[in-house]
Amino acid sequence: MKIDKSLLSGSTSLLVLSLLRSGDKYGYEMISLLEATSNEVFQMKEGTLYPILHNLEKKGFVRAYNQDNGSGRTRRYYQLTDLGARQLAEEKNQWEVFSGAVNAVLRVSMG
Amino acid sequence: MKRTKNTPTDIYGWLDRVFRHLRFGGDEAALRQELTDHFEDRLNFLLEQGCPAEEAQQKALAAMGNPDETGRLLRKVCQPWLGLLLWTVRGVLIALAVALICQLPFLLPRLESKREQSRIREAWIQGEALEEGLTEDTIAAVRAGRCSGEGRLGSYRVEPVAAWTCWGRFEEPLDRYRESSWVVLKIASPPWEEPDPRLLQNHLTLWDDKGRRYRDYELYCREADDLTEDLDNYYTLPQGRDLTACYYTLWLNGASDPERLELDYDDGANRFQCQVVFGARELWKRPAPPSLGTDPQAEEQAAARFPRLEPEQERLISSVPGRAEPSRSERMQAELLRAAELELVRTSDGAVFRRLQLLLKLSGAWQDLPLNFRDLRGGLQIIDSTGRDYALPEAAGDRLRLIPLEEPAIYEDAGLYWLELSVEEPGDWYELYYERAGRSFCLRIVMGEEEQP
Repeated sequence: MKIDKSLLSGSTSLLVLSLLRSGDKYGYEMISLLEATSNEVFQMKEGTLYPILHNLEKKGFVRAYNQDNGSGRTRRYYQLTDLGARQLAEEKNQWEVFSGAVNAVLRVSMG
Repeated sequence: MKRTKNTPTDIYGWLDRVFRHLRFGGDEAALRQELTDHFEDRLNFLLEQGCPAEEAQQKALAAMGNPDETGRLLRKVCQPWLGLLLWTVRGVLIALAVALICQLPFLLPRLESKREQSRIREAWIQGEALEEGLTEDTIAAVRAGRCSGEGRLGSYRVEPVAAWTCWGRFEEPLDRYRESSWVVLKIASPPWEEPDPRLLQNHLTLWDDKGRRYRDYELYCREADDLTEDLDNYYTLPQGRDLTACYYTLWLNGASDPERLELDYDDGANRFQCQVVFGARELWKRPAPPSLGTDPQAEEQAAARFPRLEPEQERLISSVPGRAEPSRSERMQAELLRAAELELVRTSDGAVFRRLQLLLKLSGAWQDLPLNFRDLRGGLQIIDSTGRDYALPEAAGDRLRLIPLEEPAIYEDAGLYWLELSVEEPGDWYELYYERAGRSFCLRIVMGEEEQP
Protein backbone atom coordinates (compact mmCIF):
# COMPACT_ATOMS: atom_id res chain seq x y z
CA MET A 1 0.00 0.00 0.00
CA LYS A 2 1.44 3.31 -1.02
CA ILE A 3 1.40 5.87 1.73
CA ASP A 4 1.13 9.60 1.05
CA LYS A 5 4.52 11.21 1.59
CA SER A 6 2.97 14.07 3.51
CA LEU A 7 1.88 11.66 6.23
CA LEU A 8 5.39 10.33 6.53
CA SER A 9 7.37 13.56 6.47
CA GLY A 10 6.04 14.88 9.77
CA SER A 11 6.97 11.79 11.71
CA THR A 12 10.42 10.86 10.36
CA SER A 13 12.35 12.29 13.29
CA LEU A 14 10.03 10.42 15.67
CA LEU A 15 10.69 7.22 13.78
CA VAL A 16 14.48 7.71 13.71
CA LEU A 17 14.69 8.60 17.41
CA SER A 18 12.55 5.61 18.32
CA LEU A 19 14.79 3.30 16.26
CA LEU A 20 17.78 4.50 18.25
CA ARG A 21 16.06 3.98 21.59
CA SER A 22 16.71 0.28 21.36
CA GLY A 23 20.43 0.75 20.65
CA ASP A 24 23.04 2.52 18.54
CA LYS A 25 22.64 1.97 14.80
CA TYR A 26 24.11 3.06 11.51
CA GLY A 27 22.14 4.42 8.58
CA TYR A 28 21.48 1.31 6.52
CA GLU A 29 20.67 -0.59 9.66
CA MET A 30 17.96 1.94 10.49
CA ILE A 31 16.50 1.80 6.96
CA SER A 32 16.39 -1.99 7.04
CA LEU A 33 14.78 -2.07 10.48
CA LEU A 34 12.27 0.58 9.50
CA GLU A 35 11.17 -1.42 6.45
CA ALA A 36 11.00 -4.66 8.39
CA THR A 37 9.09 -3.37 11.41
CA SER A 38 6.67 -1.31 9.31
CA ASN A 39 5.99 -4.21 6.99
CA GLU A 40 7.56 -2.10 4.24
CA VAL A 41 5.04 0.67 4.70
CA PHE A 42 7.84 2.99 5.50
CA GLN A 43 10.16 2.93 2.53
CA MET A 44 12.10 6.13 2.97
CA LYS A 45 14.39 7.14 0.14
CA GLU A 46 17.63 6.19 1.74
CA GLY A 47 19.60 9.24 0.77
CA THR A 48 17.14 11.50 2.58
CA LEU A 49 17.76 9.69 5.88
CA TYR A 50 21.10 11.38 6.27
CA PRO A 51 19.91 14.96 6.25
CA ILE A 52 17.52 13.89 8.99
CA LEU A 53 20.30 12.25 10.99
CA HIS A 54 22.63 15.23 10.63
CA ASN A 55 19.87 17.59 11.65
CA LEU A 56 19.21 15.51 14.77
CA GLU A 57 22.93 15.50 15.48
CA LYS A 58 23.11 19.25 15.05
CA LYS A 59 20.29 19.67 17.58
CA GLY A 60 22.03 17.40 20.03
CA PHE A 61 19.43 14.67 19.99
CA VAL A 62 21.91 12.09 18.66
CA ARG A 63 25.66 11.62 18.80
CA ALA A 64 27.70 10.06 15.99
CA TYR A 65 30.84 7.92 16.11
CA ASN A 66 32.70 5.46 13.88
CA GLN A 67 32.84 1.77 14.70
CA ASP A 68 33.31 -1.59 13.07
CA ASN A 69 29.94 -3.12 12.20
CA GLY A 70 31.02 -6.64 13.00
CA SER A 71 31.87 -7.61 9.45
CA GLY A 72 35.11 -5.75 9.14
CA ARG A 73 33.59 -2.55 7.81
CA THR A 74 33.63 0.78 9.61
CA ARG A 75 30.30 2.49 9.79
CA ARG A 76 29.06 5.70 11.31
CA TYR A 77 26.86 4.86 14.26
CA TYR A 78 24.30 7.11 15.87
CA GLN A 79 23.42 7.13 19.55
CA LEU A 80 20.44 8.63 21.28
CA THR A 81 21.44 11.29 23.78
CA ASP A 82 19.62 12.22 26.96
CA LEU A 83 18.27 15.26 25.21
CA GLY A 84 17.19 13.05 22.34
CA ALA A 85 15.42 10.72 24.74
CA ARG A 86 13.45 13.63 26.18
CA GLN A 87 12.64 14.82 22.65
CA LEU A 88 11.49 11.30 21.71
CA ALA A 89 9.17 11.22 24.71
CA GLU A 90 7.74 14.60 23.80
CA GLU A 91 7.18 13.72 20.14
CA LYS A 92 5.68 10.32 21.08
CA ASN A 93 3.28 12.08 23.40
CA GLN A 94 2.34 14.55 20.65
CA TRP A 95 1.85 11.68 18.22
CA GLU A 96 -0.38 9.83 20.65
CA VAL A 97 -2.48 12.91 21.24
CA PHE A 98 -2.68 13.64 17.51
CA SER A 99 -3.41 10.07 16.43
CA GLY A 100 -5.88 9.63 19.25
CA ALA A 101 -7.76 12.72 18.15
CA VAL A 102 -7.79 11.58 14.51
CA ASN A 103 -9.07 8.15 15.51
CA ALA A 104 -11.75 9.69 17.68
CA VAL A 105 -13.01 11.88 14.84
CA LEU A 106 -12.97 8.93 12.42
CA ARG A 107 -14.98 6.76 14.85
CA VAL A 108 -17.60 9.38 15.19
CA SER A 109 -17.80 10.35 11.49
CA MET A 110 -17.52 6.84 10.10
CA GLY A 111 -19.78 5.36 12.64
CA MET B 1 13.92 7.46 -9.39
CA LYS B 2 12.87 7.99 -12.97
CA ARG B 3 15.83 7.64 -15.28
CA THR B 4 16.48 10.73 -17.37
CA LYS B 5 19.30 11.88 -19.55
CA ASN B 6 21.01 13.43 -16.50
CA THR B 7 20.37 10.56 -14.08
CA PRO B 8 23.58 9.42 -12.42
CA THR B 9 24.60 5.94 -13.49
CA ASP B 10 26.80 5.14 -10.53
CA ILE B 11 27.16 6.09 -6.91
CA TYR B 12 29.97 8.52 -7.61
CA GLY B 13 27.89 10.44 -10.09
CA TRP B 14 25.05 10.34 -7.61
CA LEU B 15 27.30 11.77 -4.88
CA ASP B 16 28.63 14.49 -7.19
CA ARG B 17 25.06 15.60 -7.83
CA VAL B 18 24.39 15.73 -4.10
CA PHE B 19 27.46 17.80 -3.27
CA ARG B 20 26.86 20.16 -6.13
CA HIS B 21 24.34 21.73 -3.77
CA LEU B 22 26.87 22.17 -1.00
CA ARG B 23 29.79 24.57 -0.73
CA PHE B 24 32.06 24.08 2.22
CA GLY B 25 29.25 22.19 3.82
CA GLY B 26 30.92 20.67 6.83
CA ASP B 27 33.04 17.59 6.48
CA GLU B 28 32.34 16.55 2.89
CA ALA B 29 34.72 13.62 2.86
CA ALA B 30 33.09 11.97 5.90
CA LEU B 31 29.62 12.50 4.51
CA ARG B 32 30.58 11.05 1.13
CA GLN B 33 32.00 8.01 2.87
CA GLU B 34 28.85 7.55 4.93
CA LEU B 35 26.59 7.66 1.85
CA THR B 36 28.94 5.38 -0.07
CA ASP B 37 28.89 2.87 2.78
CA HIS B 38 25.11 2.94 2.79
CA PHE B 39 25.01 2.25 -0.94
CA GLU B 40 27.44 -0.65 -0.55
CA ASP B 41 25.33 -2.14 2.23
CA ARG B 42 22.25 -2.01 0.04
CA LEU B 43 24.16 -3.41 -2.92
CA ASN B 44 25.59 -6.28 -0.89
CA PHE B 45 22.11 -7.09 0.44
CA LEU B 46 20.74 -7.30 -3.10
CA LEU B 47 23.65 -9.41 -4.28
CA GLU B 48 23.14 -11.75 -1.34
CA GLN B 49 19.50 -12.03 -2.42
CA GLY B 50 20.73 -13.35 -5.78
CA CYS B 51 20.16 -10.17 -7.72
CA PRO B 52 22.42 -9.90 -10.81
CA ALA B 53 25.24 -7.43 -10.34
CA GLU B 54 24.11 -4.82 -12.86
CA GLU B 55 20.49 -4.96 -11.67
CA ALA B 56 21.65 -4.76 -8.06
CA GLN B 57 23.65 -1.61 -8.93
CA GLN B 58 20.61 0.01 -10.49
CA LYS B 59 18.26 -0.97 -7.65
CA ALA B 60 20.70 0.16 -4.98
CA LEU B 61 21.19 3.44 -6.77
CA ALA B 62 17.47 3.93 -7.18
CA ALA B 63 16.97 3.23 -3.49
CA MET B 64 19.27 6.17 -2.65
CA GLY B 65 16.61 8.49 -4.01
CA ASN B 66 16.86 11.83 -5.79
CA PRO B 67 20.39 13.28 -5.34
CA ASP B 68 19.18 16.82 -5.85
CA GLU B 69 16.58 16.44 -3.09
CA THR B 70 19.19 14.94 -0.79
CA GLY B 71 21.63 17.76 -1.63
CA ARG B 72 19.03 20.45 -0.93
CA LEU B 73 18.10 18.88 2.38
CA LEU B 74 21.74 18.58 3.38
CA ARG B 75 22.37 22.21 2.45
CA LYS B 76 19.61 23.28 4.81
CA VAL B 77 21.27 21.38 7.61
CA CYS B 78 24.89 22.31 6.89
CA GLN B 79 25.67 26.06 6.97
CA PRO B 80 28.12 26.81 4.21
CA TRP B 81 29.19 30.13 5.60
CA LEU B 82 30.16 28.55 8.88
CA GLY B 83 32.02 25.84 7.08
CA LEU B 84 33.98 28.40 5.10
CA LEU B 85 34.74 30.36 8.21
CA LEU B 86 35.90 27.32 10.10
CA TRP B 87 37.98 26.20 7.14
CA THR B 88 39.65 29.58 6.86
CA VAL B 89 40.34 29.93 10.57
CA ARG B 90 41.69 26.42 10.74
CA GLY B 91 44.04 27.11 7.85
CA VAL B 92 45.34 30.33 9.37
CA LEU B 93 45.91 28.73 12.77
CA ILE B 94 47.78 25.83 11.23
CA ALA B 95 49.99 28.17 9.21
CA LEU B 96 50.76 30.27 12.29
CA ALA B 97 51.55 27.21 14.36
CA VAL B 98 53.93 25.85 11.73
CA ALA B 99 55.69 29.21 11.39
CA LEU B 100 56.08 29.52 15.16
CA ILE B 101 57.43 25.99 15.52
CA CYS B 102 59.99 26.65 12.81
CA GLN B 103 61.14 29.83 14.54
CA LEU B 104 61.33 28.39 18.05
CA PRO B 105 64.91 27.12 17.82
CA PHE B 106 66.00 30.64 16.93
CA LEU B 107 63.60 32.60 19.09
CA LEU B 108 64.25 30.93 22.41
CA PRO B 109 68.01 31.49 22.72
CA ARG B 110 67.69 35.00 21.34
CA LEU B 111 64.92 36.12 23.63
CA GLU B 112 67.33 36.38 26.51
CA SER B 113 69.91 38.43 24.71
CA LYS B 114 67.49 40.38 22.57
CA ARG B 115 67.02 43.04 25.17
CA GLU B 116 70.75 43.62 25.52
CA GLN B 117 71.31 43.59 21.80
CA SER B 118 68.49 46.02 21.26
CA ARG B 119 69.93 48.30 23.90
CA ILE B 120 73.31 48.32 22.20
CA ARG B 121 71.81 48.91 18.82
CA GLU B 122 69.51 51.68 20.00
CA ALA B 123 72.35 53.28 21.95
CA TRP B 124 74.35 53.73 18.77
CA ILE B 125 71.42 54.74 16.65
CA GLN B 126 70.32 57.30 19.22
CA GLY B 127 73.87 58.50 19.81
CA GLU B 128 73.89 57.52 23.47
CA ALA B 129 76.92 55.36 22.97
CA LEU B 130 78.93 58.54 22.47
CA GLU B 131 78.91 59.25 26.19
CA GLU B 132 80.99 56.18 26.84
CA GLY B 133 84.08 58.12 25.75
CA LEU B 134 83.21 61.70 26.55
CA THR B 135 84.16 63.11 29.93
CA GLU B 136 81.53 64.68 32.11
CA ASP B 137 82.88 68.22 31.96
CA THR B 138 83.61 68.27 28.28
CA ILE B 139 82.10 70.74 25.92
CA ALA B 140 81.30 68.59 22.98
CA ALA B 141 79.07 68.89 20.01
CA VAL B 142 77.47 66.25 17.89
CA ARG B 143 75.88 66.35 14.51
CA ALA B 144 73.44 63.66 13.48
CA GLY B 145 73.62 62.33 9.96
CA ARG B 146 70.77 61.73 7.57
CA CYS B 147 71.38 58.47 5.73
CA SER B 148 70.27 57.39 2.27
CA GLY B 149 70.99 54.67 -0.23
CA GLU B 150 71.18 50.92 0.04
CA GLY B 151 72.72 47.98 -1.72
CA ARG B 152 72.59 44.22 -1.96
CA LEU B 153 75.26 41.63 -1.24
CA GLY B 154 73.83 38.35 -2.37
CA SER B 155 70.88 37.70 -0.08
CA TYR B 156 71.82 40.57 2.26
CA ARG B 157 70.50 44.10 2.05
CA VAL B 158 72.86 46.79 3.34
CA GLU B 159 71.92 50.32 4.32
CA PRO B 160 73.21 53.01 6.69
CA VAL B 161 70.69 53.72 9.44
CA ALA B 162 72.47 56.21 11.72
CA ALA B 163 75.51 58.46 11.67
CA TRP B 164 77.14 60.84 14.16
CA THR B 165 80.08 63.16 14.07
CA CYS B 166 81.40 64.44 17.33
CA TRP B 167 84.01 66.69 18.95
CA GLY B 168 84.81 66.07 22.53
CA ARG B 169 87.36 65.48 25.22
CA PHE B 170 87.98 61.77 25.49
CA GLU B 171 89.80 60.19 28.41
CA GLU B 172 90.92 57.15 26.51
CA PRO B 173 93.36 56.42 25.03
CA LEU B 174 94.80 59.89 25.68
CA ASP B 175 93.25 62.73 27.59
CA ARG B 176 92.69 65.09 24.73
CA TYR B 177 90.15 66.41 22.40
CA ARG B 178 89.30 64.31 19.47
CA GLU B 179 86.83 64.28 16.75
CA SER B 180 85.35 61.16 15.34
CA SER B 181 82.55 60.05 13.13
CA TRP B 182 80.48 56.92 13.22
CA VAL B 183 78.17 55.26 10.74
CA VAL B 184 75.89 52.41 11.75
CA LEU B 185 75.22 49.93 8.98
CA LYS B 186 72.27 47.62 9.01
CA ILE B 187 72.58 44.32 7.19
CA ALA B 188 69.25 42.56 6.82
CA SER B 189 69.76 38.87 7.26
CA PRO B 190 67.77 35.89 8.55
CA PRO B 191 68.11 35.28 12.29
CA TRP B 192 70.23 32.18 11.74
CA GLU B 193 72.87 34.04 9.75
CA GLU B 194 75.54 36.41 11.06
CA PRO B 195 77.19 38.18 8.11
CA ASP B 196 80.98 38.28 8.35
CA PRO B 197 82.12 41.86 9.09
CA ARG B 198 85.10 41.25 6.81
CA LEU B 199 82.57 41.10 4.03
CA LEU B 200 82.49 44.87 4.20
CA GLN B 201 85.97 45.74 5.39
CA ASN B 202 87.91 44.60 2.37
CA HIS B 203 85.74 46.29 -0.21
CA LEU B 204 84.20 49.32 1.48
CA THR B 205 85.68 52.80 1.10
CA LEU B 206 84.37 56.00 2.60
CA TRP B 207 85.00 59.50 1.33
CA ASP B 208 84.18 62.78 2.99
CA ASP B 209 83.46 66.11 1.34
CA LYS B 210 87.06 67.21 1.83
CA GLY B 211 88.38 64.35 -0.23
CA ARG B 212 89.67 62.27 2.68
CA ARG B 213 89.49 58.55 2.16
CA TYR B 214 88.74 56.03 4.90
CA ARG B 215 89.64 52.41 4.50
CA ASP B 216 90.01 49.32 6.55
CA TYR B 217 92.81 49.80 9.07
CA GLU B 218 94.52 46.53 8.32
CA LEU B 219 94.34 47.20 4.62
CA TYR B 220 95.78 50.65 5.21
CA CYS B 221 98.72 49.24 7.15
CA ARG B 222 99.51 46.81 4.38
CA GLU B 223 99.43 49.43 1.67
CA ALA B 224 100.69 52.60 3.32
CA ASP B 225 104.27 53.57 2.70
CA ASP B 226 104.53 55.72 5.72
CA LEU B 227 102.59 54.75 8.78
CA THR B 228 103.34 58.08 10.40
CA GLU B 229 100.65 59.64 8.27
CA ASP B 230 97.35 60.43 9.86
CA LEU B 231 95.53 57.16 10.21
CA ASP B 232 92.28 57.44 8.38
CA ASN B 233 90.63 54.17 8.98
CA TYR B 234 87.48 52.45 9.86
CA TYR B 235 86.65 49.15 11.39
CA THR B 236 83.47 47.22 11.79
CA LEU B 237 82.19 45.68 14.95
CA PRO B 238 78.90 43.85 15.23
CA GLN B 239 77.01 45.92 17.73
CA GLY B 240 74.08 43.64 18.01
CA ARG B 241 71.31 42.09 16.05
CA ASP B 242 67.66 41.40 16.21
CA LEU B 243 65.56 38.89 14.40
CA THR B 244 65.85 40.62 11.07
CA ALA B 245 69.27 42.28 10.90
CA CYS B 246 72.81 42.72 12.15
CA TYR B 247 74.20 46.15 12.98
CA TYR B 248 77.80 47.17 12.39
CA THR B 249 79.50 50.39 13.38
CA LEU B 250 82.13 52.06 11.23
CA TRP B 251 84.43 54.36 13.18
CA LEU B 252 86.15 57.06 11.19
CA ASN B 253 89.20 58.35 12.97
CA GLY B 254 90.31 61.83 12.11
CA ALA B 255 87.15 62.77 10.26
CA SER B 256 87.44 66.54 10.36
CA ASP B 257 83.95 67.96 10.69
CA PRO B 258 82.60 66.32 7.55
CA GLU B 259 79.52 67.72 5.94
CA ARG B 260 78.81 64.53 4.08
CA LEU B 261 80.12 61.02 3.58
CA GLU B 262 80.02 58.74 0.57
CA LEU B 263 80.15 54.99 1.14
CA ASP B 264 81.35 53.05 -1.87
CA TYR B 265 81.27 49.27 -1.96
CA ASP B 266 82.77 47.32 -4.85
CA ASP B 267 83.87 43.69 -4.74
CA GLY B 268 83.81 43.19 -8.48
CA ALA B 269 80.48 41.41 -8.44
CA ASN B 270 78.44 43.80 -6.30
CA ARG B 271 78.52 47.59 -6.37
CA PHE B 272 76.48 50.10 -4.44
CA GLN B 273 76.75 53.55 -2.89
CA CYS B 274 75.23 55.17 0.16
CA GLN B 275 75.31 58.71 1.48
CA VAL B 276 75.29 60.51 4.81
CA VAL B 277 74.60 64.21 5.19
CA PHE B 278 75.29 65.72 8.62
CA GLY B 279 72.87 68.18 10.14
CA ALA B 280 73.04 70.98 12.64
CA ARG B 281 75.21 70.91 15.72
CA GLU B 282 73.90 70.19 19.15
CA LEU B 283 75.77 70.56 22.41
CA TRP B 284 76.26 67.23 24.03
CA LYS B 285 74.37 66.91 27.31
CA ARG B 286 74.32 70.67 27.80
CA PRO B 287 71.72 73.31 27.27
CA ALA B 288 72.33 76.06 24.79
CA PRO B 289 74.92 78.50 26.21
CA PRO B 290 73.89 81.96 27.48
CA SER B 291 74.56 85.15 25.59
CA LEU B 292 77.84 86.96 26.19
CA GLY B 293 75.73 89.97 27.06
CA THR B 294 74.56 88.21 30.21
CA ASP B 295 78.16 88.23 31.42
CA PRO B 296 79.32 91.80 30.70
CA GLN B 297 82.57 91.45 32.62
CA ALA B 298 83.66 88.31 30.81
CA GLU B 299 85.90 90.11 28.33
CA GLU B 300 87.43 92.32 30.98
CA GLN B 301 88.17 89.41 33.24
CA ALA B 302 89.68 87.44 30.36
CA ALA B 303 91.88 90.35 29.36
CA ALA B 304 92.94 90.84 32.98
CA ARG B 305 94.40 87.33 33.03
CA PHE B 306 96.55 88.14 30.02
CA PRO B 307 99.41 87.40 29.58
CA ARG B 308 99.65 84.00 31.23
CA LEU B 309 102.76 82.84 33.02
CA GLU B 310 103.41 79.75 35.06
CA PRO B 311 103.65 80.98 38.61
CA GLU B 312 107.10 80.84 40.25
CA GLN B 313 108.49 79.02 37.22
CA GLU B 314 108.70 81.69 34.57
CA ARG B 315 109.87 85.30 34.56
CA LEU B 316 109.01 87.77 31.90
CA ILE B 317 111.97 89.39 30.16
CA SER B 318 110.16 91.45 27.54
CA SER B 319 106.80 91.77 25.88
CA VAL B 320 105.89 92.95 22.37
CA PRO B 321 102.20 93.75 21.95
CA GLY B 322 100.30 93.00 18.76
CA ARG B 323 97.18 94.41 17.15
CA ALA B 324 94.93 93.31 14.35
CA GLU B 325 92.02 94.72 12.45
CA PRO B 326 88.83 92.66 13.00
CA SER B 327 87.94 90.12 10.36
CA ARG B 328 84.39 89.77 9.16
CA SER B 329 82.91 86.97 7.11
CA GLU B 330 79.39 85.83 6.43
CA ARG B 331 79.06 83.66 9.52
CA MET B 332 81.82 84.79 11.84
CA GLN B 333 83.58 87.89 13.11
CA ALA B 334 87.02 87.63 14.67
CA GLU B 335 88.58 90.16 17.00
CA LEU B 336 91.98 90.12 18.58
CA LEU B 337 91.45 91.18 22.18
CA ARG B 338 95.06 90.74 23.25
CA ALA B 339 98.28 89.61 21.57
CA ALA B 340 101.80 89.62 22.95
CA GLU B 341 105.10 88.08 21.98
CA LEU B 342 106.72 87.17 25.29
CA GLU B 343 110.34 86.49 26.06
CA LEU B 344 110.51 84.33 29.16
CA VAL B 345 113.14 82.71 31.29
CA ARG B 346 112.58 79.48 33.11
CA THR B 347 113.75 80.04 36.62
CA SER B 348 114.72 76.46 37.27
CA ASP B 349 117.44 76.25 34.63
CA GLY B 350 117.64 79.71 33.08
CA ALA B 351 116.36 78.53 29.67
CA VAL B 352 114.85 81.29 27.55
CA PHE B 353 111.62 80.80 25.62
CA ARG B 354 109.65 82.95 23.29
CA ARG B 355 105.92 82.60 22.96
CA LEU B 356 103.09 84.34 21.19
CA GLN B 357 99.98 84.47 23.35
CA LEU B 358 96.64 85.38 21.86
CA LEU B 359 93.19 86.14 23.25
CA LEU B 360 90.63 85.89 20.47
CA LYS B 361 86.96 86.71 20.43
CA LEU B 362 84.91 85.04 17.74
CA SER B 363 81.33 86.26 17.30
CA GLY B 364 78.53 84.37 15.62
CA ALA B 365 75.92 81.75 16.35
CA TRP B 366 77.40 79.18 18.71
CA GLN B 367 76.71 76.44 16.17
CA ASP B 368 79.21 78.13 13.87
CA LEU B 369 81.92 78.63 16.48
CA PRO B 370 84.76 76.27 17.28
CA LEU B 371 83.54 74.63 20.46
CA ASN B 372 86.93 73.52 21.69
CA PHE B 373 90.58 73.88 20.94
CA ARG B 374 90.70 70.88 18.67
CA ASP B 375 87.83 72.27 16.73
CA LEU B 376 89.68 75.55 16.31
CA ARG B 377 93.04 74.05 15.54
CA GLY B 378 91.58 71.72 12.91
CA GLY B 379 90.89 74.69 10.67
CA LEU B 380 93.68 77.06 11.69
CA GLN B 381 96.81 78.00 9.74
CA ILE B 382 99.49 80.31 11.11
CA ILE B 383 102.40 81.88 9.25
CA ASP B 384 104.80 84.62 10.32
CA SER B 385 107.06 87.18 8.72
CA THR B 386 110.11 84.88 9.01
CA GLY B 387 108.52 82.49 6.54
CA ARG B 388 107.62 79.80 9.00
CA ASP B 389 104.41 77.91 8.37
CA TYR B 390 103.20 76.54 11.69
CA ALA B 391 100.91 74.05 10.00
CA LEU B 392 103.78 72.09 8.49
CA PRO B 393 104.84 68.86 10.23
CA GLU B 394 108.34 70.18 10.89
CA ALA B 395 106.81 72.99 12.90
CA ALA B 396 105.56 70.48 15.42
CA GLY B 397 107.63 69.52 18.39
CA ASP B 398 108.46 70.77 21.86
CA ARG B 399 109.52 74.26 20.84
CA LEU B 400 107.06 74.95 18.07
CA ARG B 401 103.52 74.23 19.07
CA LEU B 402 100.07 75.69 19.46
CA ILE B 403 98.32 74.92 22.72
CA PRO B 404 95.25 76.15 24.53
CA LEU B 405 95.89 78.09 27.72
CA GLU B 406 92.33 77.53 28.87
CA GLU B 407 89.25 75.86 27.59
CA PRO B 408 87.28 78.18 25.32
CA ALA B 409 84.46 80.09 26.95
CA ILE B 410 81.49 79.48 24.69
CA TYR B 411 78.46 81.73 24.72
CA GLU B 412 75.38 81.73 22.62
CA ASP B 413 76.75 84.42 20.39
CA ALA B 414 80.51 84.42 20.95
CA GLY B 415 83.52 82.48 22.12
CA LEU B 416 86.75 83.52 23.89
CA TYR B 417 89.90 81.59 23.04
CA TRP B 418 93.30 81.67 24.75
CA LEU B 419 96.12 80.34 22.63
CA GLU B 420 99.86 80.09 22.93
CA LEU B 421 102.25 79.55 20.07
CA SER B 422 105.88 78.71 20.65
CA VAL B 423 108.24 80.69 18.39
CA GLU B 424 112.01 80.64 17.80
CA GLU B 425 112.56 84.03 16.23
CA PRO B 426 110.45 87.12 16.79
CA GLY B 427 108.32 88.12 13.87
CA ASP B 428 107.10 91.47 12.63
CA TRP B 429 103.69 90.02 11.98
CA TYR B 430 101.74 86.84 12.32
CA GLU B 431 98.82 85.83 10.18
CA LEU B 432 96.03 83.55 11.44
CA TYR B 433 93.78 82.06 8.85
CA TYR B 434 90.83 79.87 9.85
CA GLU B 435 88.48 78.06 7.51
CA ARG B 436 86.16 75.24 8.30
CA ALA B 437 82.82 74.22 6.83
CA GLY B 438 82.05 77.62 5.40
CA ARG B 439 83.22 79.57 8.47
CA SER B 440 86.39 81.61 8.16
CA PHE B 441 88.40 84.51 9.46
CA CYS B 442 91.80 86.03 8.77
CA LEU B 443 93.70 88.11 11.30
CA ARG B 444 96.97 89.79 10.47
CA ILE B 445 98.62 90.59 13.78
CA VAL B 446 101.15 93.37 13.49
CA MET B 447 103.67 93.50 16.33
CA GLY B 448 104.46 96.79 18.02
CA GLU B 449 107.27 98.14 20.12
CA GLU B 450 108.90 96.12 22.83
CA GLU B 451 107.72 96.86 26.31
CA GLN B 452 109.64 96.23 29.45
CA PRO B 453 107.67 94.60 32.25
